[in-house]
Amino acid sequence: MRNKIVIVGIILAVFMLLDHLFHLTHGEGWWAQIPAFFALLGFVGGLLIFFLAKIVISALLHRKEDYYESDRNNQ
Amino acid sequence: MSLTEIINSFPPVLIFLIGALVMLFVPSRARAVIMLVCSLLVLAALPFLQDASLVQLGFLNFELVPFAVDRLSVAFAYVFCLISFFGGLYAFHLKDRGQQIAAMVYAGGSLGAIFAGDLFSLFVFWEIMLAGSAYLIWARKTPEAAGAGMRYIIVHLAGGSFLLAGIIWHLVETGSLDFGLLEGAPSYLILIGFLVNAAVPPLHAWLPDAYPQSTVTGSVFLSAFTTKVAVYALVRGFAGLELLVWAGAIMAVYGVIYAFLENDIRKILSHHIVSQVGFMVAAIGIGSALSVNGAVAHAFTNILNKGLLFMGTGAILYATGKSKLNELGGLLKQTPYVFVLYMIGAVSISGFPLFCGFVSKGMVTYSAETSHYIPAFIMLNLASVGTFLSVGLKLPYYTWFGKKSQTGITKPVPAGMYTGMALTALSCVIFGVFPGLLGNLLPYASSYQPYTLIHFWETLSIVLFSGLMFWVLIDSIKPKPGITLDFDWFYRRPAPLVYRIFVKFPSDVFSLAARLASSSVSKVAQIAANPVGFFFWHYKNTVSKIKGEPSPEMEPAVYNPHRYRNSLGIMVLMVMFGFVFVAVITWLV
Repeated sequence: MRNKIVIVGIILAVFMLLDHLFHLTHGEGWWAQIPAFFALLGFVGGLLIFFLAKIVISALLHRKEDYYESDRNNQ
Repeated sequence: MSLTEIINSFPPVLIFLIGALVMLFVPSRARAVIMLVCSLLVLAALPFLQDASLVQLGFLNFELVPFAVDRLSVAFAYVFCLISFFGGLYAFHLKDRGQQIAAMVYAGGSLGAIFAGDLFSLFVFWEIMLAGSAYLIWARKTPEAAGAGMRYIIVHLAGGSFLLAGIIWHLVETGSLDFGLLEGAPSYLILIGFLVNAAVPPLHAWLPDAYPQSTVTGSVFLSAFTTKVAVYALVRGFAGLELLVWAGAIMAVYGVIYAFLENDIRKILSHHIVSQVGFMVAAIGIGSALSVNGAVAHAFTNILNKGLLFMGTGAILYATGKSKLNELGGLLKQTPYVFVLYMIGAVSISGFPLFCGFVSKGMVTYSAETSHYIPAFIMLNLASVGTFLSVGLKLPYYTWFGKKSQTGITKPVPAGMYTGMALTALSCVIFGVFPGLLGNLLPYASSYQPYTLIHFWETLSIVLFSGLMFWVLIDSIKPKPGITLDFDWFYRRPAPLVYRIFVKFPSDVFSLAARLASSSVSKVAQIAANPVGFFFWHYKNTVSKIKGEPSPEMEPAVYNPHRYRNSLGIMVLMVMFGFVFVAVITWLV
């Protein structure tokens, strides 16, 4: 896990450098000022989706496969 | 009458409906061919259509326009014909007459809806689509499909009722059935009808509920038509409505989160439809020429991409009989071509360069950025991340790689399925490599250039880093069996209670009333059969009660048909005689 994070960090640094050198992120908003914005969005956004899906929604709303059927049979 | 005149006076929906009619009488191979021929016929006719109201029809006091053409409807018609053709090839092995006819009716209804020149015609075709699509769900013939199909129908009938109520109210207020930009109070009812079909949360739960329950080939058609016709209707009626920007951005993220959680491969894709339609709805809300072009282009490419993905997962379901990720895995050696074709759809929908998704998705996000909807712009990009994670990585990884499934494939994938998939994949590439082909079909002239360094950089960054995120967390992403509750909980969970209140309680009341009625009738019958005996019994009963004796048994009424015959006969005779007597006297006097 640690090795993986280091590798991601190195690639991100490369992307930030490239972005800084060649001005690859265009735009007028605040987000365009962040170096390698889309790379960060890809990684952090992925983590955010993972967090929202697996931690928040899954914890609250995950049910067994036969949730609706078992309910009907009980009635 | 020249050929062009014939083409311009003959609505494409009729070609499909006539085809469906002929299908009733011909064998299965011929039925499959009819679907292909009808799709090609309409496709060939599209370049000759003129921009005008082509067929007018008097109905009561109104002038209906069931066939009107402009660039917007033609753009949708092209892709509808393409997917009917590809879907027809994919379903070539099918022998189920009902499914084949339903697919024809569904495709025809969709073509009718996009060529409808007034709101009432639109409504009629809207409901024809419902009939065809519901059959495609039921045709799976499982108890789950039966239930999901029934919920699908109920939700869509409710949506259709909003639409019709809105149309009638609109007619009363404005006196017109014209279908252009809609405003005012009635338009909100129409909007609800459209939003139900576009699967905008919280009105979307029918889609991930019903589509995965449909047949293998049915889901390909389902993924193409209903939501995209709704997108068409929203473009025409509500372009520039700001509410839609936020509804679209939210649904784009909502859809991928649910897709990311799902275990069933076709359910992943169904949740993901919600997300992709979110891109279109947001673009419609922005309302600029570029964004409306983007919405149409994204609908166009999405029908091909999503159709291809449903074909790939359908082929896996067909071959293995399974669709749950935790039961699949390690299928690469057995179905390598399905994997390759699926991945073309997956990278296309994730917006890789040289595939059609790159062109259309870029248009939508770029228009959100240039129109200064920055939160929506970021949410749409977040949805792109989720798209690649769920459809491009998780689904294929746990289907074709990962732990090997126990069963493997049980029957080979038919050649027709491969042909349909291959042609759909080819068109995904063609429209990606030659974006001008798609650009020429769009409603507004456009100078948008998808292939720029900045756009490449954006896509590369998003795709690479979401891929890295998947790689880092791969052990925590394993699919697990189960379902995730969604808004359909609100009508599925209380169903037993609703059943008790609205079905069981009235039926209990009715049966009680029926029992009361029949018992009182038998009592009355008893009294009426022997009134004298009943009163005597009543008298004796009272006397014995006073004396403290047990109550006497009531004499059973013995029916004797001859008992009063003589006396009654004499009475009737006397009455008759009286009449004759009076008549004779009157005549004499």
